Amino acid sequence: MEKENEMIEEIVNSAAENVTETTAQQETAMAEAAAQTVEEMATEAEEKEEKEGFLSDNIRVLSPGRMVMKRFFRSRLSLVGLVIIVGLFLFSFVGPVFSSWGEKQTDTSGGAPIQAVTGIEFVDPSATDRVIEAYIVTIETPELNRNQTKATADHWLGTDDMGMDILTRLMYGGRISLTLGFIVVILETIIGIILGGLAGYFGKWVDMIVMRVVDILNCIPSLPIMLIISVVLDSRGVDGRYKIYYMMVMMTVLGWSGIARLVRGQILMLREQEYMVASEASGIPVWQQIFKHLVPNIMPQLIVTMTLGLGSIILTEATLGFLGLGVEFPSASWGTMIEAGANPDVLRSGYWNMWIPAGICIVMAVLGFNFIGDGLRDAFDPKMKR
Amino acid sequence: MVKYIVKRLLMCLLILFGVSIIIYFLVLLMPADYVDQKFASQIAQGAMDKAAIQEMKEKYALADKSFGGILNGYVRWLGGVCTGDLGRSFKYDMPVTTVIVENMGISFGISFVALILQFVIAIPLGIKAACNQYGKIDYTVTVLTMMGISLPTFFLAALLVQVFSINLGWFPVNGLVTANLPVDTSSFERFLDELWHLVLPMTTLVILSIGGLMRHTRTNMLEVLNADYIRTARAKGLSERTVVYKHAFKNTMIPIVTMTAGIIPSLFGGAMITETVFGIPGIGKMAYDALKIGDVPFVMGYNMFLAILTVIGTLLSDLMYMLVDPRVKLTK
Repeated sequence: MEKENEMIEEIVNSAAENVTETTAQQETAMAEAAAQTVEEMATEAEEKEEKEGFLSDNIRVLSPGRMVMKRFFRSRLSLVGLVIIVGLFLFSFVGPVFSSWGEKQTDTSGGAPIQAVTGIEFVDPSATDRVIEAYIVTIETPELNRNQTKATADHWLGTDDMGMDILTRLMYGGRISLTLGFIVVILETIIGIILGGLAGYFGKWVDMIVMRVVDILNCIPSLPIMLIISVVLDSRGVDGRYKIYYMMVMMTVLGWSGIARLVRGQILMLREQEYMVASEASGIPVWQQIFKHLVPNIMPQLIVTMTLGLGSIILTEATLGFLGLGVEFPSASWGTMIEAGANPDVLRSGYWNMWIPAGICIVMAVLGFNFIGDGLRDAFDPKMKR
Repeated sequence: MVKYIVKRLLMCLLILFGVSIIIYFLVLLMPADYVDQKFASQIAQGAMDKAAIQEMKEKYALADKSFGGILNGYVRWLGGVCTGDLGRSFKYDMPVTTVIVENMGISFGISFVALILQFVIAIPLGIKAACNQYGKIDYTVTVLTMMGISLPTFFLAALLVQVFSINLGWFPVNGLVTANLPVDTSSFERFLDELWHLVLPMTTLVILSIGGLMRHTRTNMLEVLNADYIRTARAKGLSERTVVYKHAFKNTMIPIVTMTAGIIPSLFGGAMITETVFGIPGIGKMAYDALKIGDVPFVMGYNMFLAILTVIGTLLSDLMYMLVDPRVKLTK
């Protein structure tokens, strides 16, 4: 069923492709803006006759960007999403400054002094009947970790089974999870734009090859492949600390197909527009045609896809962590922390603070990105009049 | 039509060929002595002889990594696949095909019931939300389903176990059958027992997938509700009920039917994480256990199996699209 969600998305995507709906959104948006401006001008012009002011003082020109912003902030959900994401970023990147614990620092203040008394019998070798009784007394204050505590004044969310502060680890974990998400999405987009752009612009055999590769990548089951990659990395003796980076590279290599497909579909459509004929007629080099005239027009859809993609990559990272394939232990990531929930003993012990906060962070992040993505989609959509 | 299907089928074969090359290449990256280590105990027990292992190594080009060796191994493997022989799994010591066939029933059962529940819940919700766009119902449903989408599978599963199995004790923590079931339990009681074990996994699957379907229904419904013929229907004075459920809903069904056709094959592939967390011996858990230790024949076999399911799904959904929507015409 995990696969199923992907499938649904794929099918939705392909269906969207088939029904070549949306016309050039950007253009329509601009047209709309222009129309609005004209309307405003007309009404303002009447007033102007009365007031005898300058035209430019009285009209308000809204650029398409401003209009998108306005529509975006009108939706309450996208605002909530934005607040969540900004909050999580502050929490992860600024939070550790205020924390008195380190990411890998163990709280060792849990030990009470232990007195150990050992009795020994000493037999004098010179006289066999003489036995001397002796005692060795050792007093030590061992460095005992404060393992698995619930929330206390020192540790707001308690400590995990190694005595590390959970709240602090959440902050550091957020750094890794969020950063990895951004890096993977940006790389995927770059690859997707380049290959999808080439396929869409040149068509013919270039298109054929790129799209077949996209088809193949779409059929590769992601989770099983990640498991195999992890085994392969293990078998080649890759250092556990760097494993997650290799995995993320592989995720990028396998994950660009969706974006490439989107870019290609849009470019196929935009290529037929008059302004592209004009740009070709004026002799602009091909790469400039693609990256300066075509790609900016796909940006709205790309941004939406990237935002939604961020959520899904954070989920994947968390899944890998949960399966024990993610960031290796002393370092924290949300996925690694939630792994505790895989252990029925932890569930039975009732130390829910070990895994539930990490889960909440993941849900919040994904939810936030989804809200923003949805809000942006609606904001970019010229059909939405509200 | 026939020509189109033949063309698509050929394309599918090409895709599967590509998938097999990529997976083969990944497996190839394992070091040569990996298999020896894995089999050390089995060789010592005499369960496997060296000749069989040597053959396996050749088949997966683990021993000889020259170009000739790889090519030779790949051709042998592909030949096996074409005759339905996916090799012998290390972990289960059975042919991979047998492992897959024997265990996919339970996975399909769970996923299928979950799929039906998902439809029963998500579609009415989607319609309700679309009819009250930007209303209270719409916002509530959207937020709830979005949360469903955002929940990681394992987190939801662990939460359900924590609350319903450990704290409340209503359902078993994992497994498929109660361990100490009396010998004289009737098969019906056994079935009920299994069902009782499957409540939480199914709930997990349903909650996770409701969101996607509900949003899909909502978007399509909104699109249809803005169409001209709906305005006509309203102008004719039809009741809102008839307009929504008879005129609009039928057209909303097109993408849903298409999507369903695409999903059904993938139900056989198993829900890897859900099954693993709840310890259900379906194909997903079996695959996870085998993949985790790098069971080479199983890795190759299972991934090919999944790829085939995906290919069939896409094909089915495209064909369904043509059948259901009269507007779609074949271009070539």
